[in-house]
Amino acid sequence: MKSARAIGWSNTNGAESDLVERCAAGDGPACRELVDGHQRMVYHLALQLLGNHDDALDLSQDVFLTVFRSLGRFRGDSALQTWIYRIVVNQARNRQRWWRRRRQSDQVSLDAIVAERGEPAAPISSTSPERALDQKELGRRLWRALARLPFEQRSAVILRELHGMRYAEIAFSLGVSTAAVKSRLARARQTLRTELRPS
Amino acid sequence: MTPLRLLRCRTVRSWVTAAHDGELSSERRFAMDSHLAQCAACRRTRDELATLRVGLRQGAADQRPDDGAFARLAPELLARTTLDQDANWGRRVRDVIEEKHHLWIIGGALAATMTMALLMVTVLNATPVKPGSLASLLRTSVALGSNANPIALATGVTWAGPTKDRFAYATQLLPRVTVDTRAAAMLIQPLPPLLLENLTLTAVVTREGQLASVEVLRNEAPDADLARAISRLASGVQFVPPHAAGAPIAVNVVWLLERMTVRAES
Repeated sequence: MKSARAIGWSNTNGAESDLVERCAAGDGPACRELVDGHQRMVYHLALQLLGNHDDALDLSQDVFLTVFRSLGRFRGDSALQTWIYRIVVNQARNRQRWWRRRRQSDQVSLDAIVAERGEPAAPISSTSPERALDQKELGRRLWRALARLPFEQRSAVILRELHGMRYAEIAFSLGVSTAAVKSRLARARQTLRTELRPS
Repeated sequence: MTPLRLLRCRTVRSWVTAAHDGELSSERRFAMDSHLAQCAACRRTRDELATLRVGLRQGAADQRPDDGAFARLAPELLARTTLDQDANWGRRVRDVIEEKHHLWIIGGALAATMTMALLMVTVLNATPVKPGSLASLLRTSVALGSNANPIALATGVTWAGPTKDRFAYATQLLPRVTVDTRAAAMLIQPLPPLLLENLTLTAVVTREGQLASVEVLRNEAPDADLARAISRLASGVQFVPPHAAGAPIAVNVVWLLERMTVRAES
């Protein structure tokens, strides 16, 4: 099995290294720059993984606190963004486990979000109102199905389809091999594709 | 017919997935496109993947992320970060453990292994050893000089050390040979390929540490050939002679061998 770390796709550039060093030294403006540069990505991923705005905001704060505490251990094995992705996924996974212990199903959480959705913020590639409605309904069904997937499959799909990450980057973020990423994506897609077919 | 048409749909579908994920080489993409032009089923797979992506992105947009909310929280986060620079070590350790969630798995596996090992040792020690079993034989052999395997002093031999230390008798009053010496001797002069069911061997270990006056009683009858073979073997062995009162002594020894396995010469 090929380790994600052994792939050698490290691409931390000089500017990023400088930013990391300044943050690790406690430089306020540098920390602000790091937050500004990644907060949208962190918040969106947290929201997609958890399905709840408040939890996503809370998790985002925890993620950045962990980032600042751990920057001293960041060795540039990956791009800084990929490293932050990994922290987001780990913390989201931990929260889901905590929820399960509290007998709070993650599916309930996402269903609640689905129930309170309004009009889409920006309909994509719609050519007619009917088509936009179809896509909205399709998105709703797919996200319901996504919420039912195991966390490891769901996170792989989100990182690939919504964040455009490559297999190696997903592998690093999830702490698994690229083969495991492909396997999880295949199983998740097989499940989700059933939602595309008329019932 | 070109080789491209020979591609199996199963192969092409895995390529379709890789292409969808931006992980397909240009050579394969060309072959895949040629196949797709002729295969409706594979085209459907490609279209389903595309529809899946569109649907998921639509669903994500419907979540209406509030980007402004996090921007408002950023100053608070940075203030907490400044305060957190003085965070205690306990919190930092917890963060490391939380981030490295695999540590829990490794720790759990180690704990389980140690628990099982402890359980096995406990069970083995609690199991009574049957008389005559291999475990009993080994235990008795190892405990030389114990109540189960006592050593009697030869007539006229006195022991100057602590009387309670019976293992000291064994180390002082029995001839010993180092493993290295014995192994070297057997390599040079291996025993004849005999299967020894029962064997009684008597000899003298001299004060110089040599084996002398070897006699072998096998199947209740003397075996001169075997005695000579063993004498020849023992001539290359240096014993540490027993000591009494600080001086080496010669002793008569009797070995009782039962069901001894000897490898045949090749």
